[in-house]
Amino acid sequence: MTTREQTYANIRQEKEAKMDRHLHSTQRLNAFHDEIMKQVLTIALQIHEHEYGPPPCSYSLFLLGSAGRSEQGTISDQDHGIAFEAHTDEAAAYFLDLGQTFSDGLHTAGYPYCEGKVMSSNPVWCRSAEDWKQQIALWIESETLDTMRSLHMIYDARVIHGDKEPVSTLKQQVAANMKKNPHKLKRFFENIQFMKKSIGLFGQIFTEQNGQHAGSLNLKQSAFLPYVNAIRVLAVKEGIDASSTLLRMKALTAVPAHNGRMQEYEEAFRLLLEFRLRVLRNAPDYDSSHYINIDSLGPVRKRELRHILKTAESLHHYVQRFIAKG
Amino acid sequence: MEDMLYLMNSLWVMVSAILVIFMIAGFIMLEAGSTRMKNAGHIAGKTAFTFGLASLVFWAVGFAFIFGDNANFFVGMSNFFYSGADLDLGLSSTVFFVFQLAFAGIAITIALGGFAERAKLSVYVLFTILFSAIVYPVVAHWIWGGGWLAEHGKQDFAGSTVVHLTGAMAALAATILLKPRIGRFNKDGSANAIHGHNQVFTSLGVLILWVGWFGFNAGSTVSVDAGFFGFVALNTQLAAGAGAVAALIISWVTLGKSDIPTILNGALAGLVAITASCAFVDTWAAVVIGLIAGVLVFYGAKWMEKMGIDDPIFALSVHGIPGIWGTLSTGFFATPDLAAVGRPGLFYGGGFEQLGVQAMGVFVSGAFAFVASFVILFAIKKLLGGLRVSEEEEIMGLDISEHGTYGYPEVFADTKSKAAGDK
Repeated sequence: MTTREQTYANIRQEKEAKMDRHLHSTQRLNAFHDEIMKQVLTIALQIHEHEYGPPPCSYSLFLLGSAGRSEQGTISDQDHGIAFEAHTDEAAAYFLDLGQTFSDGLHTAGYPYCEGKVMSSNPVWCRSAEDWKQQIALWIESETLDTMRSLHMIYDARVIHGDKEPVSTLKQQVAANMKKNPHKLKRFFENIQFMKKSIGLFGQIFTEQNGQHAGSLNLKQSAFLPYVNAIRVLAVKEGIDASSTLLRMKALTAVPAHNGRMQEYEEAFRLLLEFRLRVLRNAPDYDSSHYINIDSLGPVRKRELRHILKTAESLHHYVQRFIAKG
Repeated sequence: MEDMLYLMNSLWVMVSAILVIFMIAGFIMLEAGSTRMKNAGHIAGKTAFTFGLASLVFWAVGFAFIFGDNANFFVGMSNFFYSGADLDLGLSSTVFFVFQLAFAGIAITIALGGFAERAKLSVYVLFTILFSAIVYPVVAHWIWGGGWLAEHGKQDFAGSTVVHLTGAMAALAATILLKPRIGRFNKDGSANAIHGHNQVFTSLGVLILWVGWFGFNAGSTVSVDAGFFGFVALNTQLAAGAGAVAALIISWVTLGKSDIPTILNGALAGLVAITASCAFVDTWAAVVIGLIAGVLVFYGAKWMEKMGIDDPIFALSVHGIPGIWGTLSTGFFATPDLAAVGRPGLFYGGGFEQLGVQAMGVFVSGAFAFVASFVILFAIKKLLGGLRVSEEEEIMGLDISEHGTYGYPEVFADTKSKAAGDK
């Protein structure tokens, strides 16, 4: 075993050993995840610089997905990207390789690779600032479900290394375009319009029917995504730069149009974050970490879950109406 | 005039017999559609074959056991290798024979549903012979052939118990002995769905069965007298519709999405349930019987899954549980005017008497069918050194393992050349 792998493995051990101390709040847990990822990055940088020399220009490394939003649970896969200043082939090769080293490190440290390849080892998510600008313009222009999805991804970006400004510029580019053209914002919403129905008229919760998760609810799909997606749409509409759903909600409360509703949604979302920490803290792997067995919940937890799911639906409809009005 | 009635009865029952035989086509579509492509040719072909085989057995011994004279406790004992002799029935006896033969064919077809996608072809052959000779005739004799349950006034107009429950209990014995298909259940006991390959086939199969059911139920009047078959047909249609509606609602409410296989099973469950009671109950009761059957079939399938029983084409949840419910239903709903056999039900002042007879009939018939089938299959298992194809054969599919050709050759062309060792 090389020392590099040993070091990553040590980080993983440390992560697993100390995780328990950071489980009392999602905020704390995510600060802990950040710390671990930064340690991985430091080592990745050392290895990379040792081989290829110092970076050819300044750059920003950002997290995406739940890490970008500071909403990771105990187990999370990796999503990240890089924006670098110099628009040259050398720089592109350098950072793509750095992205690979970082990604491998994260994997060894216990953050599985992203199945959708949203990682800075993928040239789609590792570009010069200039390239990024063109790419985002193109994504907006082509407005297919896929490109809209990429815009959803990039809007959750949060810089953990380097200057924040380049990523903020990209987000502003997205928001400004949507503001200029309400049709694009509608497309942006349509990307997340489908919401799997998870609660019925009589408060019954629709669980998986088959497979090893039969009788369980996919909390990510049924609860997290509706909140996260709907709030992101509002954030883009109002040009809010923050990445986390809670910070976005806070900013939205200050907008008169949303002021009346946001408190209810924020309370439910906080409840959801707390709920996940309590109920899913002992999940054995990433896949299982989304599934919650309904029968194992007591009556109080069940009531909470119903409230969370119903409020999610209400928020979704609220945003739908809001976007439809233009 | 008497001649006229004889001819009309014969004609009506012959038409009904053809409708019931056409139900085999429904089963072919239903079963093939509800299972995987690699077994489609096998399932379709064996269903046609076992009907043919069961016909010969019915001619040799089945008919004699059910309707013969000199009966002992289990079976009758005359008219083996039926010659076509006139039995003085008010209609052509040969037509009656063909009609009854069709019912025996449906019973074995239901039973073999429990074998789907894993039993050896030789097991199908042996079990068809023994079931058609021993299991089905005993129950049919008890209830329709003047046996002891008939003497108690057991109501089973067209065979909720005789045909459907008997078939389903054999399917249960088979599926227990065969064990679940590979991949049906996980190590922790949770179930995986093994989806059928063509819901259009399944739906068409259900509709063919539905149409055939008018022969099954309305034909069971075995007479055109007073046009009563029309009333039976009316009740049949109402129960089928109610079963489908109830199944759609219950799956929508519980799953959040209406489930196509459940809806189709609901229609069939309504039909199975009304089969016993179609001539004995009012139209509103037919609707209630169908609605309840549609709910039962949904929870029945869930329950089977929970028990770790693999019921590949829903033989147990469609024919078994609704078969029991349908038989019991006359004990509640049979009206004094319509109860030509037995007594009125609980809701018509008949008390618990008829319900008790129905319950006893269901229990004894079901238990006999299960135990007899289990013993037969156990013996076949010993004889053949197992009921089930090897794991490798099951994975490659029974089309190729049992017959050497595929129902869908183009789909499996690559696999085939690999299996044959080609480059």
